[in-house]
Amino acid sequence: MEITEILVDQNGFPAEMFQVLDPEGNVVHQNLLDLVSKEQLVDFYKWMVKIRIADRRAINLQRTGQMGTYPSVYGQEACQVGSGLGLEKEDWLVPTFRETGTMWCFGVPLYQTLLYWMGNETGSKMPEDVNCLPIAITVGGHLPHAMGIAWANKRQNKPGAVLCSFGDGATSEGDFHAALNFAGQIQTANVFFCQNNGFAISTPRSIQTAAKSIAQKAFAYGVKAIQVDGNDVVAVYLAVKQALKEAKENLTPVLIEAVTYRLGDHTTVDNSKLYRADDEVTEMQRREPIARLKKYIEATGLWDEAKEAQLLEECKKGVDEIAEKALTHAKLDPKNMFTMMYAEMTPALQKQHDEFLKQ
Amino acid sequence: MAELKIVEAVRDALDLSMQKDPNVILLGEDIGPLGGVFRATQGLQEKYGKDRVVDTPLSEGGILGAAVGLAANGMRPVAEIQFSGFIWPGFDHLINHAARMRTRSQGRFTCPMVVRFPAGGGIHALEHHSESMEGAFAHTPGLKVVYPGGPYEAKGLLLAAIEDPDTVIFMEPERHYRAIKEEVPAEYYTLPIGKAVVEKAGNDVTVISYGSMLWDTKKALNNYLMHKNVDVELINLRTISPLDTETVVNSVKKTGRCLIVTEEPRSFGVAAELMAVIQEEALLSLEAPVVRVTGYDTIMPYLETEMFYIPTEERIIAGLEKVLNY
Repeated sequence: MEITEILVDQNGFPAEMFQVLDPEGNVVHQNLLDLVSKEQLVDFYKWMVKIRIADRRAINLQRTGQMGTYPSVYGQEACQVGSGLGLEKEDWLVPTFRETGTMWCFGVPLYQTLLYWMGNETGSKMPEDVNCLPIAITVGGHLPHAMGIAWANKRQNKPGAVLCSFGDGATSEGDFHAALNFAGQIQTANVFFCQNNGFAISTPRSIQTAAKSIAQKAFAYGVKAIQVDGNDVVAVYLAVKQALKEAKENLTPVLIEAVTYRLGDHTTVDNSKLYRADDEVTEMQRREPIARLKKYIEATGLWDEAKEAQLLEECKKGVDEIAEKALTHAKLDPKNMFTMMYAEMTPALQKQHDEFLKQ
Repeated sequence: MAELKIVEAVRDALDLSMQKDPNVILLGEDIGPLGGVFRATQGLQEKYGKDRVVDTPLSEGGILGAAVGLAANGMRPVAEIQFSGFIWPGFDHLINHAARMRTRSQGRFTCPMVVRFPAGGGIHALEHHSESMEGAFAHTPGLKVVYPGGPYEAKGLLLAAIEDPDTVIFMEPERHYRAIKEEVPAEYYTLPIGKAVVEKAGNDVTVISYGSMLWDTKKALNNYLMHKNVDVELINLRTISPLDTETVVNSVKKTGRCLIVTEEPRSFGVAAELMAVIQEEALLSLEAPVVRVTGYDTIMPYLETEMFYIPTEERIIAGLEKVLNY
């Protein structure tokens, strides 16, 4: 199989879900695995471990009352790393809310993401040199925005593609269809990256759509598609790279369906035991992304227990420092709610602002 | 009589309406096995089946658009929107279709549907989970807007909303879902839509509120009146639209002073409409300008600072003293 073959149109679909490493860490396509270096494989692994530790820390911050509701990325680390590291600096990320890892990989400092979930608006102010919109909480509404950003790139001859991330639930929103249709028709450099993690809160993928796959929805809009094993970080990375290349070089939008599994609850206020069986989760645990890559890099001598111990210690220390930075960050001045509304406060708002300060 | 929380009273009303009318159908996101994120539909899918308590695909436009069709063709859909800020992808169906079906078809078709969702802030939720946009719905001709405060009226008004021949927006006080308990009759009963209630009669000043802010207002008044001798008349609107102008105007004519407490943004809202009605019908009885204590004309802040947005006890009392001491 060649890398160009993973991208299919309606004539080539359904293809097999694209995979480079199987759940046991066996190589499915050696020639595709060779497209990433040994250093990259180790880097992918380190990032996934780092993200899992950060994710656990975030849950712990919520449990101890130091942070608000938080949506865990547990189980989706391959999607996050594969997409986040697949992007170039010139590209854009238009993220949904379950993207702690993707945003971190793309250059959004983790303390800002934590600050966001702590309920401080500063967390949404992305660094000047990172093309990343604030997290989208409403489902699917950000897809047309991603299309608009890519359209603006095209009009202004700016480089870069736009990767928009979302879950399986978002594909039911009208905006998903509007965005793909616009992108297909206007021909913009968009990658629509769906992390199909099996659930929209309690609603399983089977209730979301009667379609066989999410990937195939692309064809109705003249958009190309890739269905990839979302727990195979190498496959996700290659899929994202290939899609970005296609989007930039040919102005052909691509829909990627990364098939993964949400091992954690929807958020810290959810209890997934109410709607799914423990057996299912245990089975999916067996296919989780970190163990898979670890098997491969250990078997090939790239990784050992000493390196593992060192990594865990470094990650824990690093994440602790980042959490501390978020926890000790200055609280937002509440007058910000008035000053950030318009370029200039309206007279009515100015009056409310002044009265607020007098209290 | 059993004591129920607001969310339990809502569930009780849904249960009774489904028992009574086989055409009642519930649709929404995660309302089946999960019972809704606030558990308002807990146990109902088990009792009435997947065909009547329907977990839909994730699309508010789909939910509300389908509800219009269901209602136009003889069903009684009760749609749950998970949080207030998620309703807007379906707003087109409310404003352009549900609200106009009767007029457009000259009575051939109607749209007897109910749209329920939690409203207001204060539970440390995320963005788009805490808004009070009742004014936007009330400003749409063709919609009725109900916003009960406590469990007793939530049950009676929801049953009335489901029976109502037109579209009813039914807002539920999010931060008081489980905080308020009241005795609620077990049987089926309705309370009139469009009718406010005088919670406490008085002669010195009229205080008007509803929904979530009703409880903050009551608490502020209780604390204040422990030390001050003011004879307050407290009106709970229960329904925003149609507005019970009679109860409001009669009260203000009696007291001559009025304070309005709402959580919505300040401008162009329910409080503004009440002030207009009072000006039209009770101007000559007024001893002081009407005062409104509201949220601000701002985005609801993230959870760290949301308490600065929601009217506080201090702001409510400052408003009361302003109208009393004019």
